[in-house]
Amino acid sequence: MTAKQGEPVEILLAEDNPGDVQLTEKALEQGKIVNNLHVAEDGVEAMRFLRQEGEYADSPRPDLMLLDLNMPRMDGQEVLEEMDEDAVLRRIPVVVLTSSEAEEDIVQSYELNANAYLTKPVDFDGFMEVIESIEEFWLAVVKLPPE
Amino acid sequence: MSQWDDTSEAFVNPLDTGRAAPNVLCVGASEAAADHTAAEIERHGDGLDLDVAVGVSAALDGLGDVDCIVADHDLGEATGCDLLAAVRDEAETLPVVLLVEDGDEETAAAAVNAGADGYVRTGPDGDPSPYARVAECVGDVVDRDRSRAEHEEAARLLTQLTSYTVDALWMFSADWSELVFINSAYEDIFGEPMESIIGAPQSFVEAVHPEDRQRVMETMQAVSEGEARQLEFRVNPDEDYRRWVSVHAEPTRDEDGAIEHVAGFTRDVTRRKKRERALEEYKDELERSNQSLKEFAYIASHDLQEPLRMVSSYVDLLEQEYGDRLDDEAEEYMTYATEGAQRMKEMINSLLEYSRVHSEAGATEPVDAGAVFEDARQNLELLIEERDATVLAEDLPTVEADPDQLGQVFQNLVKNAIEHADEGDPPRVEVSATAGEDVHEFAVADDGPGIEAGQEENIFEIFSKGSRREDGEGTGIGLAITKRIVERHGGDIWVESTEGEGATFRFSLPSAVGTQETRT
Repeated sequence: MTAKQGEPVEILLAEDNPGDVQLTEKALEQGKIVNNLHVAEDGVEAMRFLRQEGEYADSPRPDLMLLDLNMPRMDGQEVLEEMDEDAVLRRIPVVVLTSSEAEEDIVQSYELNANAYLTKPVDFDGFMEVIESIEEFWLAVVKLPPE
Repeated sequence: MSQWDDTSEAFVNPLDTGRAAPNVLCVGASEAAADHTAAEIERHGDGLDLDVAVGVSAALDGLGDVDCIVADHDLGEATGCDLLAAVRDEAETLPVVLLVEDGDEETAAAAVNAGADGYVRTGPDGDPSPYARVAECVGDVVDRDRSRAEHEEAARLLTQLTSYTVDALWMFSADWSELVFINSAYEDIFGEPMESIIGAPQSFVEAVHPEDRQRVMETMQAVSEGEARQLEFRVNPDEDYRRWVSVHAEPTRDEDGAIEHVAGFTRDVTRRKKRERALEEYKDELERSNQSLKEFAYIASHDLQEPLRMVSSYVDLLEQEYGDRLDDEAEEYMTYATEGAQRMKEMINSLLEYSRVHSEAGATEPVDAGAVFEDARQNLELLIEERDATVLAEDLPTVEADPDQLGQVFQNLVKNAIEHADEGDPPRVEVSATAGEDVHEFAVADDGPGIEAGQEENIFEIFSKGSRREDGEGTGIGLAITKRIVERHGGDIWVESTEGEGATFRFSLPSAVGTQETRT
């Protein structure tokens, strides 16, 4: 990991719902960690970003990925599977965001290669708490010794 | 002992009784001749009752109890053959032994042709001891006759007995090639005339549903090889093979243990099969409908989350970012929007919980209801303190239940009682139980406002208004979940209440009786 505290953390958000994108932006703005948020509106775009294809040639390698499961064209599960097959992408920490606890139960059972599962809360305060827990998670990740 | 042995004994036994000494009528041309025959037979034979008659007509008059006739060929005006013919007219099967003068081969041949059951040659060159032969011959023919009569009687009794049963009873030779016995129930069950199976013993196979024939023939083979078998299959082509029969078949063995016959019965089980099938279909239907309900509840609640999140999150953001620019009326509108969204969130979660009563049901086991109740009471400690409630329980019995779900039942009912109590009036909740043989009945009684008349059933419905408080607390699903749990356990739940005088919720659960199947 190259990111240090104080330097902006590069975050990739894969999310098709613009409402959720904006909520995430708002919550990260109010959060403690300096970050650059990149948005991919489905799994295909997310993979192109990760592989720095086309217009993403100059995009940074994300330090953290926030992944929605329900997306058109390519869903979160498929993104996780493709990332797992790539030796470099496999090392990017991924937080999966689910719409309900019921969905969380189900996706957990697939044993996907994700670092955390979080249910999107219904109100903004709850959403802030989720973002805070992601930040805590991130701080824990950067403290880990490099692999 | 096999079933068949019991049966065979039952219809042979009565015939063993009352075997008296055979009555033998000695007929001669004269009283002296007849007496002579009788005296000679008595000298050589044991256990015979001897009587005499002179001439054909006297002999015919005395036929009543006679088991055998021994007649001289020379009967004066008539011959033994004449007597034989006359006897045959009267008593077709009565054995007749003729004493034929030695050397009279013609008469001997005539006697045999006329159907004499035996003849003995008398005279110097005849049998060395003719009357010993006569006695022996009489014994033989009487035995033969008697066993034939017994067989006929046995067959008559068997036919009579088996005509009263609706099961087809049957016996075949060990290889099924010959039919030994079958009763008339066959006609009705198989839809085939008796003549066809009597003429062609294996023709019953053709009345078996084509798809079942292979199984039937394999079973027949197995029984022929010594196995007892039971099989269910469809028969009766006239009724499109809609009849189901259950067959029990066993080999019967002779004294040496060799398979002698195959025997058994065929029972019409169509009604049972229909019931089973209807039950099976009902069960499948119920499972399908439960499954779709679960899927529906999941999809509804899951898919509702996202739009709900948009509403409440953006109302929050509006409040945060534009709050200082909104007037009081706008603030009030936003409060309604927020509360509505909050309420909808609770309902969605309740719906998910309701759909999980079945999908996450554990196995039932004997559970100490008292301990489960105590746990539930502790979970409600905060609410109990807050409302200054008194929650008491008597000794509670052991029941057959899923402990987590039983805890939920207590928790829901006690919580319901406390939450519905009038504000400022510390509620009192009492839990008791009445032990029964198969079921225990529990009661959760409160001293609250009671239930409006006519609402006793509605309150158990999902999202029912009756179970909701006026201030909007609670989602109105707690009692629906409780009902679902109790019914899943094979129990029943109802409420007794007079408005203004509290309410008593009663529910029944099976008493713990060792292991029991889980009801789902």
